[in-house]
Order: sequence, then C-alpha cells, then structure tokens
Amino acid sequence: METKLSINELTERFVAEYEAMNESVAEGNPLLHTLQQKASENFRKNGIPTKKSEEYRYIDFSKYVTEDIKLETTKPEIRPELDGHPFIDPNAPILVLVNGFFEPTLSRNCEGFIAVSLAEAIKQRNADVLSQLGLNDDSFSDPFHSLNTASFSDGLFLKIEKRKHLEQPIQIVQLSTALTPLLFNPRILILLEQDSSAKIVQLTLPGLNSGLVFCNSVYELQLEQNAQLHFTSIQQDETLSQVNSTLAHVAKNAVLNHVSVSLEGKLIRNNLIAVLTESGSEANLHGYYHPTGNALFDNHTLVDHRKPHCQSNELYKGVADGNATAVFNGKIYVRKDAQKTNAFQSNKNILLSADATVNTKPQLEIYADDVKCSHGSSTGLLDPDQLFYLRARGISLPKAKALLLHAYAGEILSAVSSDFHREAVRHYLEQRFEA
Amino acid sequence: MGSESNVMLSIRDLHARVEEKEILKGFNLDVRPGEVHAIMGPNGSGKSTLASVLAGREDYEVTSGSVLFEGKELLELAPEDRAREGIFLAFQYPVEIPGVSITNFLKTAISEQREYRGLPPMEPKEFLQMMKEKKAIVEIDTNLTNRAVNEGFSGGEKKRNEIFQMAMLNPKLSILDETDSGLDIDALRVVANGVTRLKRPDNACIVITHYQRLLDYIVPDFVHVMFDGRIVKSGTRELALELEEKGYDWIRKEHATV
Repeated sequence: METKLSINELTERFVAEYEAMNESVAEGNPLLHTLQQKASENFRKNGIPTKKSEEYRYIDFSKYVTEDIKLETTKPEIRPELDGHPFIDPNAPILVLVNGFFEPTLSRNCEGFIAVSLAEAIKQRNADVLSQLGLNDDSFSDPFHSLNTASFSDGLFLKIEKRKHLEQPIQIVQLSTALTPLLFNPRILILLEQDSSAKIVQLTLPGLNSGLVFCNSVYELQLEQNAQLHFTSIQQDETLSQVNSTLAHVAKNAVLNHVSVSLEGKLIRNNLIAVLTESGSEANLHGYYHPTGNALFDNHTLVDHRKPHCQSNELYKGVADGNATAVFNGKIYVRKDAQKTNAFQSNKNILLSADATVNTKPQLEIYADDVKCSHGSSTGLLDPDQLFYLRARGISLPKAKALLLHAYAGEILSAVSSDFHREAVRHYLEQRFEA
Repeated sequence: MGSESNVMLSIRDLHARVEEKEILKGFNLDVRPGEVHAIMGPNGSGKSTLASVLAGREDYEVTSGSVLFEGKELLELAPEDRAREGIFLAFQYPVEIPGVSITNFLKTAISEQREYRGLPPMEPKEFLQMMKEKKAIVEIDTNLTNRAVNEGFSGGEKKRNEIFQMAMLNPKLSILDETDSGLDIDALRVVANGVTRLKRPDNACIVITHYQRLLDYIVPDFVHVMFDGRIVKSGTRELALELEEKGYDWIRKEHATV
C-alpha cells in the first residue's frame, strides 16, 4: 500500500517541533536565537524540496522520509559498537557522534587539538563557536542547511590551534541508532587557525538501525590564513538516508583538499561548497561514488572564486550499478574580482548495468576575463578493448573488470591523505569489485 | 612434417564475418610443435581477422568451421580460457590501461593461468626473478614495468612489451599480429631476437606480416599467402622472398577470377 507523504505537512510539523525545541540550544543566546529564527523562516518558505526544485530534481524525498518521522531531541541511551570496523584506525584520534550527539565515552586519543560537544560549547559561551557558527549561512539558502541551523541539538566543535601540525588523522565517526523513523541534524564546526594543518576523516558507518533514519548534517570548515586541511569523507551505511552540507571557507594561501567517498547508503546527497575568500587560496575536490541496488547518490559541488590568484581542481568519478542512480552537478563560479583564476573540473562515470542511470551537469559561470577554466564530463561503459586485452592474457572477465575498476577508482583514492583509510577503502573496493 | 597425431593447431574451413561482411572464407591451416608459420598477404586479405578470431575477440562472428587446439575446440572457449590453454596473441595495437601496472597485470595473469592448470601460486621471489630474466630478453628497462600497461609508451616500447608478456606467460602457440608494423630497424631486431630466443621444439609461432623484412630475423618454416579470406599459396621461406620481389599483384591477378 502506498501512502503518499505530504511534504508540506511534514515541513509544518518540523517547524513546530523544532520551534518548541529551540530554547534548549539557543537559551540565553540572542544571536544564535536570531540565526535560528531566520533559518526557520527560510526552511518554512522553501520546505522539503520536491522534484520541481532545480537543485533537488532527481530526489523524491517521500521515499526517504515517512510521515511518522521524529526529530531527535535527546541523546540516545544505546551506544553502538565501533571497535573492529575496518575503516577505523584504533591508534588515531576518534570522535564519535551518535544520532548527532557527541559521545565522549566512545571518543579517544584526543590529544593536540580541542574537541567538544557543540551544545556544550554554546552553553559555555565559547567565543570561537559563538563568532563562527552559522557565520556564512546568509550566503546559502538551501532548505536542508536551514533545517539544520534551525534545529540542531548537538554536534561537534573541533579546533586546531595556530601553528599546530597534526600528523595523525582525526576520525569523526557518525553512527545512528533508531528503532523508529528518525531525523537528526548534527552540526560540526571545524576551525583551523592560522598556519595549522590537519587530516580529518569523517566516517558514516552502520549503527543499529531498524527504522528509516535520515541524517541531515552540516559541516562548517573554516580555514584561516595558510591553514591546510585534508578532509576525507567516507560514507558507508546502507540503512541511512543522508544530506550532508559542507561549507568551507578558505582564506589567504590556505589549502583545502577534500575527498568524498560514497560507498553505501539509501540516499546520499552531498552539497559541497568551497569558497575561496582570499587570494592565493586553493581547493582540490575529489570524489568517488558507487551506488548499487536502488540507491541514489547525488553530489552537488560549488567552487566560488571570489578573489584573484586562486586555484581549484575538481575530479569526481562514479560507478553506477544495479538500478542505482548517480548524479553529479558541479559548478564553478568565478566572480568579477577573481582574475588569474585557475579552475578545472572533470566528471567521469561508468555504467555497469543497463538499468543504472547517471545524470551529470558541469557548469561554469565566469565573470572575470583573465582566467583559465575548463570542465568536462563523460559517461560510458568499461572499455571493451581493455577488457579483451586483459582476457587475452588469461585474466577472467570478472577479474578484468575488477582490475579496471580498481585503476579507475585508484585515481581518486590516491588523493586520500591518510594511509590507513586509503588502504582500508582500497581493500573494501577490491572485495566489492570481485564480488 | 610430423604426422596428423601431433598437430597442435588445426584450422578447418573457417568462415568469419564482422557485422555483415564475410572476411574469412574457408581458411585452413595445420601447425605442429616447433614450427614457425608466416602468414603474408595484402591489406584486407583477412590476416588480422584470423588473429582476432583465434584469440576470441567478440566483434567477429564465426559462421562455420572448426579450430582444434591440442584436440580441444577453441571456438567454444572464452578468450581467457584460450590464453590459459596456451595461446598468446601479440596485439597489432596494444591498448593502454591507465592505473594498472605491468607488474600487477602480469602477476594477476600468471596466477590465473596457474590456477587454471592446477598449479600453486608463484612465490613473489620467483616471480621477480622471472621478471628480471625475461626483461633482459627484450631489453626492457626496469622503469617500464613499474608503469601502467602501455600508457604513454612509444610504438617500439609497446611491441617490446608484447614480447615481454609472451616471455612471461610462456605460451604453446604465439600469434604475432603485424608485430613489425611501425618499428624502426633496431626495435625490429630486438623484438625478433626476443621471439627467436623463446623458440623451442615444443612451442609454435604464427607470424602475421605484410612485409618480408621481419622474416629476415624470424626464420619461418612455412610461408602462406592469404588472399580474400583464405590461403592461396603455401611454400617455404623462398616464397616470402619472391613476394618481396614481385609484390602482391601477381597473387591478385592469379586469384581475381576466383
């Protein structure tokens, strides 16, 4: 039986639910309260997008949110296990969020940086958090971002102090546990102060779900002058539907290396916005996505060149199998002031099944006249000549496909800065390709 | 010539087409261990089609005939199984495979072939030792094998890499599809020397070529002239020299009415 969800009703209910809840996070904090009010209005205005919305035209959200979905407002009692997961490096720092709540008891090896619960930091009037949180929301009216700003209960504040250089990757693990349909809005604020550098690996891993769980995260990445951030996001929870909005601000001579690896999920929508706010800044964006079954993985990226002498490189590669759908929409925006910009973007896709779909749309908007920009996209099958060459040497068809897919993904994986996680994903893919 | 019983490859009345065009029109050939057969012929006579059909390329449809390799019907086998049975095709145009190193590629190929033959996996040390020895045969330098298969290789490097793979895989029957095309005389000599050094009484070789110059280095036991999809003339090495002198026109004239 099909009960068609009324997106409007749901929007109204979320508004009501989170308005009742606002007090808990923004209590006694008029600035945050105003921000949340604004976000709430924005969300009410836009609502959960339908397929009529240009930005979300491939997603039918009624498949991923049910009428009885609840907003998460309290910290869950159950704590899922994460020991022994092949993507977790037990020797590196681990910060765990369960249903969007920071869980210090599961977190460990937290040395050399500051990591606290976001709700806690707000309560304690942490100056960094109060001055940075939602700082850039104005420029972004996405309904999911607004929903998160208006109704997050907790999350994480992570700070790398001036001139600190962290070698070990900091792992931010998101787990969920729910017996009934649940929506949660984790908010993660990451601040890299001047001249600092860090590797951060964000992992979305299977928890203990039996209901429809929807995770709507916002990551705010602030890179101050000369800061260098390697940020890898690995998504592997097949029960989860998620929208991740990452908003990175990259200041003078700072470098953001972002790698997004979408392996498993019901719905994965990544909104990645890199704003090059000052001259000399650089953003390198890599992505690998591999939906199968009925999954839908949708990557929307925007690189906003605001000032001269900035660089961006973007390479997203995907494989679509089964009945799955992959979407790539990449936009490069070069503003009038951004002379001497170098901006490159490329998207490649391989279809492994006749029932899989790829939608790709590269976009360039250039308002400066002295720039070097290019973009391109391609979608095809595995090269039959390459397959034949491998088979003619005695390599079986499945193994030949695996070799080619591995080489294809390898170009993205080599951008993952953490050796442990790069090898873990490589190993995972090896097994998956040969299955 | 040996008796029927030790024929390695026996091709009988082979017909094949690509799309609607018939290219092989009743091709016959017997190859015995220890023999080198040269197949010559003008462009479009079906030489490369023959190589592709024997290796199992799916673009070609075999409409009739049979190909027995050591008594097994080759046409029923997948390309990988033909290779595992001991057939090797040196490609006319080796493809580039970015992201797959030659070392990894050969390691995989050898382990799959050994598994098919019921042999245990090769020890890494043994594999590296073999790489070293075989590289010397085709004068390949070490850096090349660390690179991705054929990616950015010169024409000569690609052909040398083919013969290097042949040396590593140690096939019973090698088919060299215009391995001489696009090679300067030095590269040609290296490639041909490699092939000659790999020759043994228990393996065989089919050399497909347009020109006789390769046959100065790889000395054939038999020379066949292919025209319009089948062999129209067979002989010894002298036939190749005659073709060199007279060109293919007399063959064309002789068979134009057929």
